[in-house]
Amino acid sequence: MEKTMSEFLPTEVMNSSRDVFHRLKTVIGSRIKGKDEVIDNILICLAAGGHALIEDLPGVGKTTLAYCLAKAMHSDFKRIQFTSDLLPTDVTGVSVYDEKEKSFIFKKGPIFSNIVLADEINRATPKTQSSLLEVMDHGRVSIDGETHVVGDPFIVLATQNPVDYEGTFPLPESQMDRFLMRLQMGYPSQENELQILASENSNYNDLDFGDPVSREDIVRVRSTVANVYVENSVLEYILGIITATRTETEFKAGISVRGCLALKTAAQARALYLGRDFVLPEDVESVSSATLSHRLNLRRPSSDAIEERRLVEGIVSRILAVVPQPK
Amino acid sequence: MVRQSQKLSVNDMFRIKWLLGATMAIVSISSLFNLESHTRVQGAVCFAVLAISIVFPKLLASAPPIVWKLFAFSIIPMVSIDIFAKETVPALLNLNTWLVLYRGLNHQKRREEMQLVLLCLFLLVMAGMLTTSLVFGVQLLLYTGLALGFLTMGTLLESKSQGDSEGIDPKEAWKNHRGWWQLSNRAGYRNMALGSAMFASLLGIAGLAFLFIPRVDVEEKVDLFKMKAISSQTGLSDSVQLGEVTNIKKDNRVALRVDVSGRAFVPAMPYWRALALDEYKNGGFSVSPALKNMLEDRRWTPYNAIRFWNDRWFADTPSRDSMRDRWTFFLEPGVSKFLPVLGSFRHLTFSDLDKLSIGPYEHAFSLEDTPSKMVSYQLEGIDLSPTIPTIDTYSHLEDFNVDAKGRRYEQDSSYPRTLLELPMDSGSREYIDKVVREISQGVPMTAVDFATKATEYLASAHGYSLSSTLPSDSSLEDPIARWMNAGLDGHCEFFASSLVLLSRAAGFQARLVVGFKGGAWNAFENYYMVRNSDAHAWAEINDGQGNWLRVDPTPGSGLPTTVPQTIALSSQIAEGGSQAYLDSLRMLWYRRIVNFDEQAQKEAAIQIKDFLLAYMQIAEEWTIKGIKELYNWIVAPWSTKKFITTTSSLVIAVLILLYQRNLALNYRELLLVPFRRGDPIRRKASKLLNRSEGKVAEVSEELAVRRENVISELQRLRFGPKESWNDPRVVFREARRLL
Repeated sequence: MEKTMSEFLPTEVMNSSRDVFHRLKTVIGSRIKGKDEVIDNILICLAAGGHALIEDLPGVGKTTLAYCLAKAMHSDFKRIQFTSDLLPTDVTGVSVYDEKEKSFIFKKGPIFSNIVLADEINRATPKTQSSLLEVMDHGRVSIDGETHVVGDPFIVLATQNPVDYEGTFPLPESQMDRFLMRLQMGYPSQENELQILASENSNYNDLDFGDPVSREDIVRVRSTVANVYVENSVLEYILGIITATRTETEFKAGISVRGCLALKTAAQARALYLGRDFVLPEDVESVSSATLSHRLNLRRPSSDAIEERRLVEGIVSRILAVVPQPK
Repeated sequence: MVRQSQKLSVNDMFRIKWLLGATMAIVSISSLFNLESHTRVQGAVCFAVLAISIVFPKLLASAPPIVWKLFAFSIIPMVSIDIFAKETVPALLNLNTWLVLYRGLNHQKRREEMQLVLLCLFLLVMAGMLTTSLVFGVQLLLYTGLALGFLTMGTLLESKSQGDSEGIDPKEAWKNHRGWWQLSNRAGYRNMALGSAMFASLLGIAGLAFLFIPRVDVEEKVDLFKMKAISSQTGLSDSVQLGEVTNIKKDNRVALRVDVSGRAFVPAMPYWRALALDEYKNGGFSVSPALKNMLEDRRWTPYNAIRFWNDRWFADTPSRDSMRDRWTFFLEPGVSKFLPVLGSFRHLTFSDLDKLSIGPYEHAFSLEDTPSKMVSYQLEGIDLSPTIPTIDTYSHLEDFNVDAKGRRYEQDSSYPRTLLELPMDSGSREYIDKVVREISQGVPMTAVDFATKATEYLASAHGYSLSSTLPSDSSLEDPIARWMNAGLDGHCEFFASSLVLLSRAAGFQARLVVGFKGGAWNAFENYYMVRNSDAHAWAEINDGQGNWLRVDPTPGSGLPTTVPQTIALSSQIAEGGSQAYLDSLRMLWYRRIVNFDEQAQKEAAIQIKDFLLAYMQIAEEWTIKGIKELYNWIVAPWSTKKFITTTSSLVIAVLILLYQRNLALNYRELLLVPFRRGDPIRRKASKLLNRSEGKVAEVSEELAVRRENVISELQRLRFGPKESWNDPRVVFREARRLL
């Protein structure tokens, strides 16, 4: 048979996306060992234009991942350590009076960056947390009636510790909804950890990432994702999953429309990530757990966050098993 | 047959397959020579061409493709000539002959192989049907073997070439051909011998079965077939206890179908008489032992009927008297072993007279067993009067009271006596006598008069009811006497039994008769449907003038009469409804297919033939008319408008022709679109994808890559945007080949 693959999206677009993903994955993979799934998901998040919540214990590589991502794509990287006394202006920036100019000038906060690592986001007060809201949703900051656009691409990688809940403010559901995915790092395998041990302990700044991906490339990939084709039956499949979460009695509430759109975008991003210009049902299935489970709350909450996460993911996978996939 | 051999290359197999196909074509064309009337020119030409091609196959392979195209087109005028000659069958044969030649020489695709097999079979069967000679059998066997080998070879070739047998270049295949002998040397004799032996043994077994099966009664030998599909009813047996006939009434299935042909008048109320029972004992009637012995003695076959009825015939073919009315009976399995008849008749047709025994005294016709299959029989010259002639007791029995082993029968003289016996307690007897006195009032009267009076008496004292409980506290032991005494309502058996007992007490010979009464008229196919619920019991009384007169004392049946009461067949009130219609279909089946009457089957065949011939004639006329009109239209003067319309229609037709490959794509799916959801191509891709799921075959790396490609192409067709589709036909073909 002829090998010519006719494409929906122009071949050069597909090729460049493939190239971008490949480079990013190689670079990050060289530092983060044995975490291909997390890297895949982070890149899908990046392509889909979403933010990721990394929920795991301290010291498993969350910051490294964020840092590597930032370095690999030649972009600004800021880290905000959330504490209970952090103020919203510490995140977004503040207008200060300039004596010389006789006017207020805006001092940009750390949020004005391409990649923002919001470390231990649940330690900050709700007020501070909500200051992230607008930025995450629209990519801009409004202060004193002035709108300031943050970087493009813009991705927030928030982390939170699921075990140590003392003195924290759990993220409100509205905030949770703004994250495209929730990811877990997990411990590396023994083999991988041995590699980590054996490697020279180098500083972040010493890392050499070779030829980084330009920001323009990322922006182009993001615009491509929206054009990935989703066939009707696949859309119906997505809707089936969403509807099932809404009728599931174990959940307090189902997935919002935003969540529904997020699932579609994530599936599109995964299709592109795998070099396809159309979405397969398996794309939807594969991203569902990460995209949906943090948006769902149990009617009878569990005492332990890890336990709750496990329960929710269990129900989501049950739903995925029940909702008929288009064949 | 040739099996795969290590030494055979794809090209070798290709050639062997071609040889088998060409031989098959030769065999089928040779069948044309059996036909006396058919011209042999075409057959001879085709035979010669095929034979030459087989001997010099390289010649054929070097023929340019244009030759085949020309050949294909030349078939049309050759056949049109035949059609103009107005002879359909030869035209069909010729068309088939040319097509066989064309395909026999030139078959490579799987589709073409199938065409060849079918064309050959068609030609063979057509020629065979026209001749039915023994040669046809041989040709058919040869064909079968060759076709099996041909198809096997095709399959082997397909697998050996990894699904690309259609891509074999014939020129390449024939290049190294050095004669069939050389090829057969390499083909491996062992496999060929094995295949031939298998085919031969298959033929042997089939032949044995062919010879053996008609000589063995499978039903007799295998217990499994003896199972009775329907539980036998006990009511119509040679011993009837009170209530048994009424029991059958609960069953609403059809027990008997009666086809009345060419008969303008039928009884107003037909009584389908199965058996007369003479011996009375405690409320039940049975056939007395003497008569029962006769019925069960297989020597009392219908061949001896002449001793009792000198005007009756029993035969396995209908009589030649075409003026007679004929009643065909279809008795359902499990109903009774006694054949219900309407009364006296002239001729009984039954296919297996050895299985039938007669009871002349009780006017019964009995099978060995309750049949497990539908039984049909035909009566002619039916006497519709309610009487049956009596038989002089033991008038012809001298030869028959010796059994097969030479022992003399104990002269059982019970029979005529049982017709008058009233074995019962004295109280009952006194009661019966009292009733008789009440009926006759001491006046001597004839049997008919007594029966009439007794019927009136019973009707005045009792009403009809399907269920009745007899009082137990009575001085009368006999159940019938008790019933009469109690003045209860009752069913037909009570009435009939009472009448029999009363008649006997009055000195008239009487007996109980069981059978069916009435039946529904099915107007869809014009026959009686007699149901089990029509089961009935009535009485017969000897009128002393050589006749048994039917007396039905059950209320609503009318008084006994010797005059036949008939009505016109056309005035029958018919049963309608879907059930009757369904039943009529069964009747149609019985009449045309199961019926022993071959004439009807012949008629049906002739009807179908006539219809087809008429249809073909009409088609011929239409074609010729159409061609003539077309000719006239062409030779008529051409105006500008005509020219333009013709040219533009032609252009459109050509465009459609060019586009039809796309139109024809998934024509099946396109037709099914209204019944299905979604895009037909997506559906098809989905079907193929599902088929590929879970199929892990050990394949070469190259094939695995191709398979992966085709799967991703299918996924694109299923889920991808339409703009990006590759030609679905190509993808599907590839998928079918690889998955």
